Amino acid sequence: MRNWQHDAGKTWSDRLADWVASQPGDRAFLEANITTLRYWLTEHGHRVVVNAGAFALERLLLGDHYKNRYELSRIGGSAAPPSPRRIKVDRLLGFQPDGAEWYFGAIAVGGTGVRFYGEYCLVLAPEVKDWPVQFLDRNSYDLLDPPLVDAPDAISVVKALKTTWQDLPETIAIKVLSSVTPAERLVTVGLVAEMTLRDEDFIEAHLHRPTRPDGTRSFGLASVEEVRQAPEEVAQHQHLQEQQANGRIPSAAELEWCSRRARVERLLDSFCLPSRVVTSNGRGARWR
Amino acid sequence: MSWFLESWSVPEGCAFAVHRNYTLNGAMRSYLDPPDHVIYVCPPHFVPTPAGYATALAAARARFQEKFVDEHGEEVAFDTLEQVIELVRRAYLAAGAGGAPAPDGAPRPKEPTPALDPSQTLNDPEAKRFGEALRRLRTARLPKERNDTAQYLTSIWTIAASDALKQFCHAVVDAMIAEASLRLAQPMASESALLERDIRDFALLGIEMNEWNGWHEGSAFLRSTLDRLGAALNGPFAENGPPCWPMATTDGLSRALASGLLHRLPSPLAWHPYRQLARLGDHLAAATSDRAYLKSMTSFEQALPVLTCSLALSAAESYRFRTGGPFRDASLIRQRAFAWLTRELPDDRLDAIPMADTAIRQVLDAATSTTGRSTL
Repeated sequence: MRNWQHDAGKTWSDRLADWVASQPGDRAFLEANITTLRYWLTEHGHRVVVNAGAFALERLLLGDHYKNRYELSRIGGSAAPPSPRRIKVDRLLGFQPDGAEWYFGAIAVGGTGVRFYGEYCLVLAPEVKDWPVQFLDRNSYDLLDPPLVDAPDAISVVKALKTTWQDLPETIAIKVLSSVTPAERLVTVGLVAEMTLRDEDFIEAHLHRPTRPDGTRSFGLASVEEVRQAPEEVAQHQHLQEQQANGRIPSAAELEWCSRRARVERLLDSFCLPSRVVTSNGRGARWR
Repeated sequence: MSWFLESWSVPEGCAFAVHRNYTLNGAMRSYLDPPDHVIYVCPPHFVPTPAGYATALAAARARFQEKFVDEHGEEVAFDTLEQVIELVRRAYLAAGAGGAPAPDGAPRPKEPTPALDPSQTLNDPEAKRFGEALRRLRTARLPKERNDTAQYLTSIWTIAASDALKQFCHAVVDAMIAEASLRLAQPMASESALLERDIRDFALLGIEMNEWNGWHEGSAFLRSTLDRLGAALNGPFAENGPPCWPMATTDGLSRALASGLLHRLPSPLAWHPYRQLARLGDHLAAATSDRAYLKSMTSFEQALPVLTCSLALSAAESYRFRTGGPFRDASLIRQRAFAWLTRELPDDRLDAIPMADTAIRQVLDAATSTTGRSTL
């Protein structure tokens, strides 16, 4: 079993050095990859991304602030949120008194974020690094699943998994390079982008946005650098439009989906907000 | 074993459903006994996709609500995944009522009071035509048996296929233009504003959904419609003449509908005993999400907004198949519209789950209120 207390007491740089030292054989490729990866992340930058659906993005474009679950109403019975599980995780992460002022995102080097949470990926401007922000090197709900839940000292586990903006290159290096086998290859920037946020596996970002005097918190459109979409949704949209033009009456849900997307596209155009279609490895849409 | 909604973004139509043999109800059991299956669905097709449990839980870190519970805080159980998907899909449609959302705290643009009887806003000959059509439709009796949606809809459609509706189709275009011209004169937020182009598009759809004989009659109707619209707008259409019609407009009409045309068009008969709905798209959202919409109708005229929507969708496709010649079968447009409505109106899949109806109405309430929408 991993010694979490030991890891919790070390910096991410030390842990990266320890991990490299523990690798068998010639480590020249590994060290070259770490140097390159650090350079890329410094040069091209990693970003905090938040995914949102058309409904939420449209409201943001119309002047609303991004909202978390604490600021939204419930449908169905009004059982008092949050659940005991969320309270447990929030406490482990150090949110006091609860997570109401915390906004969640993911770290991305490219791509379109965690699309389960919304088809549009909002890339936040680099200024977020100056906000009160912390990171966990994985989904924080993993803390409630085996094997992490079985660790004797949950506090040490969380401390070991937490990271900072400055330490993210080392965090990403461990995440990416430990997944690449064989190690005797030079990594590419596309590979780094893909492995940093892959399918449901992401580095979680926690943005603290305390309530301002005007009652608002969170962030608005001014903090969004660009909006990205995956080719799948764009192709789906175009396919539906083609089908309609060819004589097929769309279903009510298809009509609603296309209608919302069309409104979002018009608003994105009118705000001159960069909006791009990118693949998962971010090719075609570097930040610089 | 039952299905439950683990996390649900109601307005976005995205949800994680889980299959397990217990309800959580406050107990922190997630890591003790994970569910058998975790399934993700999203629009437009709501196809089930396997997902990770931690991903489903973390969705509540974003905008997803945790679980779906009844008024006592008990998790609502579903017998089948299809029931879960049906609720998510219908709630998504319900959230579309109201069209473009308002930013936080800002009321939605004020709607002009909908005309209960648009004949009040029409000129004499048009008012007479509209009034006559409306009177005939008001005498049509709706069936009392409404539990079988398909059968009920067939009854409505039988009335709709009558001469009275054919007259009304002409009249509804008149009424739409009259009401639209009133609205165009009022300043509204740009995104919700009715565009002159929208009225032209609807006029083209209205012509196609009508009974007319031969090119000349259709063309004359288009000319008179656009002339009246032009007069209402100080002449832009009257001066420029009708657009190239119909072939050049085919894709344009489909695109207009796919970009929310029905959500921008006022309903000429906005009053409905079920709730106040100002736009055609609101009626479509309510009718396709809530079974109470059809059941609560007290007269046939109240079915007209949703019938108009389905006819407009069918008419847009009809242009595609016509070569511009004088012959086309208007009954085919109605048949296609009927088939579409039969397919899209809610069935009885959620009848065993009363909380589902409550949820749909909560979403409709929030979506159509001036302030509630911002908390969806």
